[in-house]
Amino acid sequence: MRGGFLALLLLVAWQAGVELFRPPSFILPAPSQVAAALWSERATLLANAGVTLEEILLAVALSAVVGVGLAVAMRMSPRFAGGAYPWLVASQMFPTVAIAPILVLWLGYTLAPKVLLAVLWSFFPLVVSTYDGLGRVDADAEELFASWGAGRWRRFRALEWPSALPAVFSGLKLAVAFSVSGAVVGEWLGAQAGLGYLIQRYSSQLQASAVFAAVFLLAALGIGLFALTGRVERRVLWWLRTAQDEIGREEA
Amino acid sequence: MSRGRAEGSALRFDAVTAVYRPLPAAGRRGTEVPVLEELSFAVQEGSFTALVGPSGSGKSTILKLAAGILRPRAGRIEVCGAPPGTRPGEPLRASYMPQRDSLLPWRTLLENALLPLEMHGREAQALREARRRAEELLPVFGLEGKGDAYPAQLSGGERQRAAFLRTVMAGGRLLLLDEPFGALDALTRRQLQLWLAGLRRSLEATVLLVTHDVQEAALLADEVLVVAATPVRALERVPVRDRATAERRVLELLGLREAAPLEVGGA
Ligand SMILES: Nc1ncnc2c1ncn2[C@@H]1O[C@H](COP(=O)(O)OP(=O)(O)OP(=O)(O)O)[C@@H](O)[C@H]1O
Ligand SMILES: [Mg+2]
Repeated sequence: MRGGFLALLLLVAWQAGVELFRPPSFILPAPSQVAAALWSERATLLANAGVTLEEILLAVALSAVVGVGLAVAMRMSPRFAGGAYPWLVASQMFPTVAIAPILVLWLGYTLAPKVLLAVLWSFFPLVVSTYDGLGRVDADAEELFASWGAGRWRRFRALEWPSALPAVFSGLKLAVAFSVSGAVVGEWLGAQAGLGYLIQRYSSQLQASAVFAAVFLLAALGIGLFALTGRVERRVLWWLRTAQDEIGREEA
Repeated sequence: MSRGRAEGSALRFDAVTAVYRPLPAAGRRGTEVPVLEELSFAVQEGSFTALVGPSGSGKSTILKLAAGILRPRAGRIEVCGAPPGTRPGEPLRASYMPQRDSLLPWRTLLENALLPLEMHGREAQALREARRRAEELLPVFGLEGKGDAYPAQLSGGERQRAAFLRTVMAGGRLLLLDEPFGALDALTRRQLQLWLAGLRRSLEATVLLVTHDVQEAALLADEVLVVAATPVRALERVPVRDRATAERRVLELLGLREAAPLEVGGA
C-alpha cells in the first residue's frame, strides 16, 4: 500500500518535472512517453523479455543445483570444503565482466554465455548461505541425534537439511536478483535478443523512452520472480508461518 | 567407591573426570569448568535410581556422558558392559531424554516419536509396527488424538510427554531421563509417574531419573543418588526403604534441613 503510494508520488513528480523543465526527450522522457513506448513496442519488448526470462530461469535452476550441491558436499566433507572454499571465493574476485567476451567467443551468440555469466554471479550467495545454514543446527537436537547413533545421511535428511532450508531460500532470493543482472550484462556483451540487448539497441538509437520501457519491464520481471520465490518459500517453510506472517504484516 | 563387577550394572562410572571447555567468546578468555572429578558410581540393572541435586550441579552432564554425547576427559564409562553411545545398526542400549524436548517442528508428534527408530535404520515393516505401538501408547501419555499434531500445536506439558514417548519408543533398556515431568500439572505428573513405575517393571528397564523433586525421587526410586557439591567427586547413596526417612535424609544431604536427631544409616 505505502509502496504503491510512494511510486505514484514519484511518477507524478517525474511527470511534473519533465513538463516544467522540458529536458530533451532523448535524455529524460516523461512517464507518459515511457508508457506510450511500452505500448507501441509491446510485441518487441515481450518477445525479448521472453528470451531474458528463459536465461534467468535457466541460470537460477543451474545455480540452485550447483550451489546447493557444492554446499552439501562441503558440509559432508570438511576436506572438500577446505579445498573448495578458496576457489569459490576466488571465483568472485576476478572481474567476470572482463571474461564475458571470451565466453561469447567460445560459446557464440547463444543463450549459453549469458546463462553462464548469470550462474557465475548467482551461485555464490547460494553456496555461502546454504553452507552456513547447514552448519547452524540446534545443538540440543544434534546431541539427541548423536545419542541415537544416527548415520550421516539420515541425520542430514531429517535434521540438517530442514534446518538449513530458511538459509537456502535466502540464498535463492539473492540468486534470483543476481541472475537478472547477470543475464542482462551477458546480453550487453554480445547478443541478438533479450532485454539487455534491446536496451543497448534503443539507446544507440537515442530512443530514451523505449530504453526506459525496457528497463521498466526488466524491473517488473525481477520483482515478479523475487516475489514468486518468496511465495514458494512461505509454502515450503510452513512451520515458520506464524513468525513470517508477522514480519509480512509489518512490511505491508 | 567399590569397583563392582561390570555384569549386573546397567551403568558404571569409573573415576570419570569431565570438564567443559570455555567458549571462545569475543575478547574474553574463559576458564575450563570442571564438573566431575574422578567420580565413580554404578546403577544396578533393573533398578530405579533417582539423581537429585541443586541446579547447575552436574546432573545433566552425568546423563549426557552416559548417553555418549559428551566424552569424559579421563576415566571409563560402561553402559551394559560396553562403551556408551550407539553405532548405526547396533540396537540402542540407552534411551536419553534431554531436558529440552528438541521436537522437530516439521514433524508430527508421531513422526517425532518414531524418529529414533527411523534414524537407526529400521525397515518400513518394523517402523509400521512401531507406529502402531506408539499410537496405542498415546492415551497412556495423555496425548490421545494428538498424534498428527505438530509441536507448535502442543502445550508445554504435551510437548514434554511427546518427548517422553519418543524416549520410550527409542527402545533402550536403560532410560536416562532428564527431568521428564518438570512442566506437568500434578495430575498428569502422577499418572506418568505411575506409568513409568509400571513400565520399568514390565520391561525390566533400568531407570536413571534426574529430578529436582525430592518427593518424586523418594516415591519412584529404589535408591537416590545425591549430588551435594560441584565439582562432583562422589554421589551420596540413599536407599529408599521408607519414603519419609529417605526424603529427610536427601534433604539433609542437600543442606535443606537441619540434621535430624535421627539415626539414619550411611554417611
Ligand atoms: N556447554 C557447557 N559449557 C560450559 N559449562 C557448562 C556447559 N553445560 C553446563 N555447564 C556448566 O556445568 C555445570 C553443570 O551443568 P549441568 O547442566 O550438568 O547441571 P544440572 O545439574 O543439570 O542443572 P539443572 O538442574 O539446572 O539442569 C553448570 O555449572 C553449568 O554452568
Ligand atoms: Mg540439567
